[in-house]
Amino acid sequence: MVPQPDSASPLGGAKVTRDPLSRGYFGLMNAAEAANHYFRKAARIMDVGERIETLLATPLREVKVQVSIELDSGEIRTFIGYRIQHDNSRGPMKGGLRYHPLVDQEDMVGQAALMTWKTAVVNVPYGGSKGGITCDPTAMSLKEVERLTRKFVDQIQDVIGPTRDIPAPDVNTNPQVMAWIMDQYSKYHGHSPAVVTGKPVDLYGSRGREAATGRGLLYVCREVLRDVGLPVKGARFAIQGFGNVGSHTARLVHEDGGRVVAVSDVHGGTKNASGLDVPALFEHVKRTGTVKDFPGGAACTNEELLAADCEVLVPAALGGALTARNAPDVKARILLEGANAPVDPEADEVLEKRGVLVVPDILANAGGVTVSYFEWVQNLQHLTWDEERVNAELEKVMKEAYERVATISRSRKLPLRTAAYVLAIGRVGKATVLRGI
Amino acid sequence: MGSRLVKKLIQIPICRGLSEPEAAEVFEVAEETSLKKGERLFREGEMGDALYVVLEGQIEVSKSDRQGRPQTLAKLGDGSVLGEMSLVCGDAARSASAHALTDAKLLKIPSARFSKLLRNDSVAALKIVHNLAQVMSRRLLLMDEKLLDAMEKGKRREELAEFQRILSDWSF
Repeated sequence: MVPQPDSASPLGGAKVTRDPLSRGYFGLMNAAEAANHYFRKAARIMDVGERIETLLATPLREVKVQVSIELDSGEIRTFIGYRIQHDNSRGPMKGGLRYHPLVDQEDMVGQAALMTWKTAVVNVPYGGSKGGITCDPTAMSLKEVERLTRKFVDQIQDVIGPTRDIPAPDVNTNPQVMAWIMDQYSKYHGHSPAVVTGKPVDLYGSRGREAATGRGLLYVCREVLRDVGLPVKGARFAIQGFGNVGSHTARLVHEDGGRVVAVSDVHGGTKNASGLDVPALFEHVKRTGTVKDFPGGAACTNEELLAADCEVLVPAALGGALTARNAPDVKARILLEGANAPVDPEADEVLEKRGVLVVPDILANAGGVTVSYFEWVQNLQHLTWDEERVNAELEKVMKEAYERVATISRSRKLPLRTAAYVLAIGRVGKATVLRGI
Repeated sequence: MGSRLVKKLIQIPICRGLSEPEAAEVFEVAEETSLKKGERLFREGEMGDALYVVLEGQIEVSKSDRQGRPQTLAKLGDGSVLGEMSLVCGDAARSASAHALTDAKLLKIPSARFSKLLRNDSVAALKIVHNLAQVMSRRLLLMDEKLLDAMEKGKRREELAEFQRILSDWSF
């Protein structure tokens, strides 16, 4: 029972604001820039040299296609779709597909690279890619979105595939869109459920996929807390964002005995120093569509949430939530990046100086792509795993990834983020060298 | 020396700016030689005491690489000059070998002749030395580019090995 954000989108997924200058999307755009910054920082610490850096940063292939459809009105509209494939040295490429008015090629390139590093950190045998269509699905009917999706598949079916590049849901795309992609691709290539992940559980999707990012976050959090000598039981959590990542994280942390002392969404927040009653909060969200005005807590702004008295802060809403301006107010000891790039590079330096342990996005929120990998594995083997198995395998992957990152961080005296990029560059670099240039 | 040959000689690059009498003075003692296709003109390492002007045919200049395999440096046609280093360096060893790719006719000018002309402040000899300097500068420029290419190639190989070394240093 996951609360669905109220949305004008026919897909019922994450809400797209009609304002193209909305901060939310720029947050996402910054994710690409921030990832590029952190990649270069790690590459320079490793001293790989300018030409190796360029080799690793340059995308393998950038596909830009026309996606023309007939709207319900009979009007013909032409959209532009992209699929950017960054690196395939470690395996077929993997990355989300987003429908948004501000999708552009440069941003996609950065996002595709981010996927290369993320899949490398958790050691799933994938490279990185990303794609999207520049469109506003909130202004389209479901039928129009379906035609758009199928037409896009017609245009890129020769560059994607179970052993080439496997799309997944992203901003404004959901399991239904993935089902259409599977169906359309299968018309060209025969029955191919493994061409996309994030499919509905009733159509070759994996159990546990929906909660995977939140669950992965929890598994990493347990390891971090163990390392700093804090039990999860009784630890205080503040969670910004109550969408797919934030809501599952709150539920799982609560089940684990942690105290969720503050949560917020776009409408506002709620706090309770002795711990919110999370199941009651879910009921409230189901009824009202927001965590705001929850009777079991006091009102709390997003800024107050980021400065909340707690052990673990989980920004799981927007990119760029923490900047040089508000980072000095953070009281948490540990910051778990649920969203992509919620901490901008300036804030990252502030937090490092203040001794806040930042667990980076490419490690912390990699549970999603990990279970996507499990979905693909199940599809290729024509079998299904029960949720216990999915969760157990996820735990293994997340623990192992954290352990490797923490070891590099300790031995080289590097922040976890830089250590994660070092590990990713190492794995991609090794595959590249072994395969030959 | 026939005036027809002199007229031809003042057309070639190293004789640029020479008048007919000046050319006649320089080439007074020049000897014409001919080579059959495949015949060697000189061999790398021999003492060089003359400069050659190709009048007809094609000459290949080659040099042994470190493994002793001949590498072609240049193919020279009508009007080209070879052995010019002997002119500048006196009796130095030939830096490369030369042989005829086709039947060829060449004009040989002993280095000693030039030394003598230069000692006597011959304007003709100075003009030729100036022209030679230009030819050699151009060759040096080409060499610089080849050297850069070779350095880049060497570096690329090092770069990949270096990257591998870095990765094992970081022990993944």
